[in-house]
Amino acid sequence: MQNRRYSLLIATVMSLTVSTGLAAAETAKFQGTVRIPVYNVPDSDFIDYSFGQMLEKAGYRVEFVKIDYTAHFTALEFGDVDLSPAVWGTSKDLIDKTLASGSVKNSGSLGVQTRESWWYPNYVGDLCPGLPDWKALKDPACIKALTTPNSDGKINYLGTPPDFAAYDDERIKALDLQVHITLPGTVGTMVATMQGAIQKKEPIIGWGMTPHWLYGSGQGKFVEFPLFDDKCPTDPSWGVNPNEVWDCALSTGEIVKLYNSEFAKKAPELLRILTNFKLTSDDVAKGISRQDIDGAPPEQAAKEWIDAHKEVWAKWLQ
Amino acid sequence: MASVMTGADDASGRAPTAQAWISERRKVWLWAAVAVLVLGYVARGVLPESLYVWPKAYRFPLQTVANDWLDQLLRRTVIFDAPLRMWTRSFGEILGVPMRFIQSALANGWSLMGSGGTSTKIPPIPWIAVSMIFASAAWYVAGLRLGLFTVATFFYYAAFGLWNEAMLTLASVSVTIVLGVVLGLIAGIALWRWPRIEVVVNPLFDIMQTIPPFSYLVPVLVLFGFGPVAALVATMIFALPPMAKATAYALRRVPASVLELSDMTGANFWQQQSKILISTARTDILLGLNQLVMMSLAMVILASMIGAGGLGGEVLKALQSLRFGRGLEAGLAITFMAIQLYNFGHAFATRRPSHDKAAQNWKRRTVALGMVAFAIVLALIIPDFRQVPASWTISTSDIWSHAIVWLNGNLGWFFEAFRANTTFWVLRPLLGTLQGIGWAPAALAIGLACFAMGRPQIALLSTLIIVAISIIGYWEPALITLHLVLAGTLVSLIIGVPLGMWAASSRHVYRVADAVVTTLQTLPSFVYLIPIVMLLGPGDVSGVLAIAIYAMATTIRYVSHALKEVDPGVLEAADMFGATPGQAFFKVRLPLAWPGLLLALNQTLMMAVGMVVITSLIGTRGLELETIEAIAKVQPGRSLVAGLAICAVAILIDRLLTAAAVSCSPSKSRTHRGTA
Repeated sequence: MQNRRYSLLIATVMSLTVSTGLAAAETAKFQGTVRIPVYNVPDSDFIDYSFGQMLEKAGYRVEFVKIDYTAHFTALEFGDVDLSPAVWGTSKDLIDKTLASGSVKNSGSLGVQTRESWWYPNYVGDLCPGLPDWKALKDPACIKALTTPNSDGKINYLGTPPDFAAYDDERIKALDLQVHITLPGTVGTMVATMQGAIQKKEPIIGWGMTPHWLYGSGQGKFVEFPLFDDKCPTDPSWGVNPNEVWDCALSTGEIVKLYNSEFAKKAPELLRILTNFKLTSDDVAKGISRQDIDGAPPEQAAKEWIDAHKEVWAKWLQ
Repeated sequence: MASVMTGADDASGRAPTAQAWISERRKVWLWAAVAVLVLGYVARGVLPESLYVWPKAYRFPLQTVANDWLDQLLRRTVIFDAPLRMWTRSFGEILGVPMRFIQSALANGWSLMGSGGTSTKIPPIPWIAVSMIFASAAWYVAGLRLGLFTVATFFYYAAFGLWNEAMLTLASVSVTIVLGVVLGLIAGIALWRWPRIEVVVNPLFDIMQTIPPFSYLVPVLVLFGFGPVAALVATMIFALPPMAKATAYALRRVPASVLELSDMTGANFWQQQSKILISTARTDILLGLNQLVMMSLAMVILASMIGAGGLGGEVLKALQSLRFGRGLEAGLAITFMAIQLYNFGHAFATRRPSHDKAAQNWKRRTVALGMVAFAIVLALIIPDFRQVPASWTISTSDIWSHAIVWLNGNLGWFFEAFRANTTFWVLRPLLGTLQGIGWAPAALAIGLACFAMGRPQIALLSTLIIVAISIIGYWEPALITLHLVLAGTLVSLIIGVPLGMWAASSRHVYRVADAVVTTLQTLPSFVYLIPIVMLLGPGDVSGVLAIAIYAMATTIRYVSHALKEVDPGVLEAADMFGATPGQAFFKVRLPLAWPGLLLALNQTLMMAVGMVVITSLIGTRGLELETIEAIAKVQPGRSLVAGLAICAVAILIDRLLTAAAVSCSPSKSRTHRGTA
């Protein structure tokens, strides 16, 4: 009985989708191919594939374009991809520059708050009790507790991949921290290295971001730096160090959805769907963990979300 | 530069023949260079600091200038009322037509949009038919061995679930190679006809070959859009120079009598080029083709970042998600493709027209066509032969990930110790020494060393390069890059030189070594990065190891070549005079092979520079990091400048070592050997 009711529900939803699809086809439905970038980053790929697969269910033709994250901003500006539903607000420089070109617009937040900053596992908090306040990192006892044989007598810090624009060098200089940076090269290595350190209970501080299955879990906390201010990156006199910029955290932000404005003129109904598209932090964290922990491809993680949330996205398509 | 000094030093110490030519005056120059370096290092506290680090206030902000200039060029330049990028993109569209056609035929299929939203899909050629077409062609042109190898290669793609990726790569690489051959021949002929343009073209080629692809990513994207055409252009920048250089070199070796013959027979310009010159110089040009194929396939990974997709994308994804097995499978697919394409091209180019075997040829053709027809029929009947079914594919991923977990669990202490010791005893002291020298003493010492070798132009060039790098504030990151390159080269030499010597000792070993070296050279370097970073963690040690592994193939090849090239007559003579094997080796063979060994060092260093540009993906920080970081901070000009700084370092090393090789040449009769 339960089963039957369930399949009935699916049938209703399916017919609803099909009918909305048909209805859209009767009006001016966009006939071309929607090009959505994917960049081999678990969080964004999950979001990109979810959005794209939803469009496919609605009968659009979608092409997933594999591209580098930083390069995709250029592609968006010149109309080589049409829309990008998973841009981290923390890559502020790239977003600002792309929006300033005039040919890219922002269709608002995905509804997911992001945070990117220095992160430490809970046992590190015991080694350095002043945390999460960043001033604790200047305490000699704390520095000593956070060194490893490889860190040259300084705090062992795991930085970001080169395309992150984290401004760590500037921040370390401005706040005068004794830090030895190890760079991970890729996000995959960054997460794997942090996980390895946690297993071995090594003293470590590293870059972290939420939503994420590791950094967003209860296993650790973010370091509290002075809050971001628009003046911080440009005006040296702002903040604790009157002579340097970046004496603050990265701006916290949201995942935003960008689109090429020429494309939006051709496909106004797709812009509406993009504006409607919203996810929760839990959705995204689960999507990442399916890939990082269970080894599922991002298409699969997205398909599971699409299959489980038919009632949610059916509304966006109307 | 430290290695240059010791290299020249050793030459005077070990080789009596080399000693003869260094006149007393030149020796003084050399000692002066050493003295400057030592004094510069010791007297850091006494001398003004601005001789070591260029004062900030006097820096020239070339990076900002380049940003503005690029912005102007890419976004605001208008030619005949259309922006520059419209012109380049229309040109790119033309290039894209054949590529898109082949991609559709092999992998994507066509989808035609009818009126009213109905779409019909024409599927791509069935996989069994594609395999048979390529295998038959290989068999027809090159014989049974390559035919069987081709079948195995294509079945490999299918079995490991890489079919679509492999077909995309095959499409883009074959168009790249055809275009590269055409452009390379044209450029080579031009270089040969008008040798004067070498002054401009040769440095340009050097830059094209050494500039890290990351640093021209954004300009190529803007000008050619995102997709296979942009990837084609980026690949061409990297892969064209060897082909052009090899062509020019080959044409120069064509005997004058052949040219006279062509004049006498009254051949017109095109006949002369295509029928006579190219076919006479064919063997040497084929070396260029070899390089073109290897380099095009080496670029597929970076090309996948700007839209080429295919196997390169798979390897990149494997690195980003640390799946070594997948990376290795896709990487080997690239290797097999390189070997297949090169051998096919080689056989096609050296094919001799045969007149008397028409009947046999007809028979071969019938068999080949019959095989293809059979495959098509098979595909029509059984759907599994149209698209590779998922259930047929296998993967070795699990085995590899278990192996790495096991290694980490059981030998983790060893990797940890290796990493710590290498950092403490090799990398930190090396970097410290380099940083202690400072730009001014370094420039002066290298200049003096060039005078010692009698090359004032190179003295000027190297001094200029060092000063320029310091002025734009890249001295420190350049040293970080250099220390990685030097350490990587050192490891590569420590392991590669004995192996190369061993390979030179017997023919059987040489043949095995050659096969291993070829595989290592075509396996995309990204594949090594994965296990290294998984076992050693990110950082400089991993970077150095990756550089060493990548460069080692070249070391082995050049060292064994240099030792084998020594005139056997001389060795026999040494034997007759009663030299022990040790004496024969150290007193005769080594000194005679010395210029060749310096060439080996030079090529190893060049390979190391080529690899260092991607080690920032496993956490090194020098100029190579700057090229990527700058893009993320929306400063493509800065990225370009950092890339050019890496080129400058590479060119500096190359010129110094080539000069050293020439001046160490025992009888000075061996002329400059070129570095193509």
